[in-house]
Amino acid sequence: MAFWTYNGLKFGIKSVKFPKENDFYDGFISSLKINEEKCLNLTKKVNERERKCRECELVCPTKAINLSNLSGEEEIKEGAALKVIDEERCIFCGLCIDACIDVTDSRGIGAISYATGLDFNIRPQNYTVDKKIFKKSLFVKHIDTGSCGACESEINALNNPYYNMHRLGIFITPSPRFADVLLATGTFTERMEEVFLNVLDNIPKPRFIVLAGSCAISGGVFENETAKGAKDLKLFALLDNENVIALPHCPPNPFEILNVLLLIKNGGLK
Amino acid sequence: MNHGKYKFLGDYEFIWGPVRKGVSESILFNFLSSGEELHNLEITAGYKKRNVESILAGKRNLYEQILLIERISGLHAFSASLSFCLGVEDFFGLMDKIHNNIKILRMFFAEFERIRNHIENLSEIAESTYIQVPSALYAYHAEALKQLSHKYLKSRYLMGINEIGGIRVNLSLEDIENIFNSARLIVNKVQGIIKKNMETKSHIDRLKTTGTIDLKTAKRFCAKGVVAKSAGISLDLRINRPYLLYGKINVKPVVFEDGDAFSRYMVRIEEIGQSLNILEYCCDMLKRNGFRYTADYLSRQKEYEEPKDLEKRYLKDEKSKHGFGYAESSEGAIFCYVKDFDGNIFKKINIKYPFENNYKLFACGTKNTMMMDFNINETSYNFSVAALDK
Ligand code: SF4
Ligand code: SF4
Repeated sequence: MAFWTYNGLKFGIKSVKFPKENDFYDGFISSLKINEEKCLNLTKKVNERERKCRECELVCPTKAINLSNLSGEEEIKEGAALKVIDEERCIFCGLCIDACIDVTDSRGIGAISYATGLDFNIRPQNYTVDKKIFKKSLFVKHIDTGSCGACESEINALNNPYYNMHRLGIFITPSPRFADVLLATGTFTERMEEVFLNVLDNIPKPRFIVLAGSCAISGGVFENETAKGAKDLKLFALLDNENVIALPHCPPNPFEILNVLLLIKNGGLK
Repeated sequence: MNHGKYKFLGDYEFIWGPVRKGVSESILFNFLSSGEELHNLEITAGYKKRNVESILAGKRNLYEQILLIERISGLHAFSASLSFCLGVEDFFGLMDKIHNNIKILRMFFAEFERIRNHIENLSEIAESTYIQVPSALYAYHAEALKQLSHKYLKSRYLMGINEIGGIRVNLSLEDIENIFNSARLIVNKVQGIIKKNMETKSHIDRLKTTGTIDLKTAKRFCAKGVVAKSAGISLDLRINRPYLLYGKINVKPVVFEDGDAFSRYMVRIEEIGQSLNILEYCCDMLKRNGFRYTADYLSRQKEYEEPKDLEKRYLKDEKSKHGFGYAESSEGAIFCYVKDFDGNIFKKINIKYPFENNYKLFACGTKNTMMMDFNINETSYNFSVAALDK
């Protein structure tokens, strides 16, 4: 065993400095931005509301794009501006980027592009407390409600030396009774919905629910009349009084998961 | 639950699941145990059933079907989409039209996925025998592979690469070489850890003779993939029924005889080395074939996506036509059968993962083993509940 201890020490510290620094790796992406100046609908003036090009909207497999929300027509609904690209639905398939490049014919750069940074809005509805609620370490209980396994793999990755979430005082716990956060992945299948509510019942308040991955939020690529993730009406009503945080993408990157857990732990949810 | 004839005086039952420890997939285990020894195990799956086949039938086009198939089991995204694409290409008779360079690229990513999955499994196995340092080191290198794929392919799990007739991501020869060189460095480091780990007695001893299955049992349950290979059955589609260009290279069967967790561990280790050689072969071949960019081989989608054309060709007289594709994933063969093309999508898609048989075998193979070794045993099978439940 001393042999491995020596080898472990020799390997050195490989963890990122995040959140002190945003030292994301090469090629890290966390969102999709639309450059409205480049979008054909705004560069070439057309009749209002009559959009000329709808390629990206048509191609999107998760209906994440809504061009009616392009600037000038931005409507305010429940306090938040409607976005052209709905972060909660996007799975980063990149189809819209390709489609936009094809129509704008602009040598590889269209109006839509990948972006970095973790600045999306994750504040739960009805959430008013701004201060830190959890004084010590944060304990997370994970539940799989019908995922593909990639989301689990990303959560597991947080334990590897690169992210090393233990250094930040965040731990996965086997028991819901010790948990502060319920981290749910998957589409909320019929059989798991009941199990989910049961686990939730056992978690003491104050508590947070993080819906990780587009599957859990709206069903993602599985979305149809029956699979709607937490948007399923029955479940949605039951979670009304909870602090629910939607953590989108398919699967969410470990940096994003870590970021959300840290914000819960330290307070300051935007 | 009914353990019936297995129940002896003093045995007690307990259930574990569907929500288990740590971060794991939902499945229910019902144990019958006398404390130390496990006398019977019943497995209840189906908690995660998402009815993928009916959701697939509601998609708008073939690419949306690929996106969903990739996400049946995220860790086998590339092999699954490959078997679907091959099935569809078989249906449309595109098999011969696909350029060799595309076939080579598909082999390249399939082997990349295999390497990544095996290294992740080595990490889990090391953890199950409580040696944390090697486990962390393996996990670190698996992470490096995921970052590598994210850098070049914009996906950590090789999603969104395959498409009917080709590869969607635009990559240059230089990119492929960079991926290969970085992957080689990573694998070399992993092999260094494996070598040192072989000398760690507490690790190896716990794997040896754990969860042994004999050849007869393996055959009776039609074991698949790594499990079959570890029990003396040479079962590898790359060798037995070569697809893509696997027929041109000499893939040697990796077979071990003992059928225990150690044999499964060894199969994975051997396959990592083998896959690295295939990556190298792919890189060389691409260079020799004068490959420059994947964009040069963009599938001529229009050719087969023109609805009128399709109607003429497929809808009238070829109702009974079907396509069949398969690919060897890191855990065994994935088969895909497609039928009923309606001009946009396939209404009937049957996809079969290797886990169903292996679960039955696992339940049988754990009888009369030690409770303590359950975790090692389960990890060495590397199941995907998501693929089992679909
Ligand atoms: S990346 Fe894919 S899912 Fe996201 S907005 Fe674009 S088309 Fe839609
Ligand atoms: S959100 Fe995506 S990665 Fe996560 S479980 Fe669903 S399909 Fe898999």
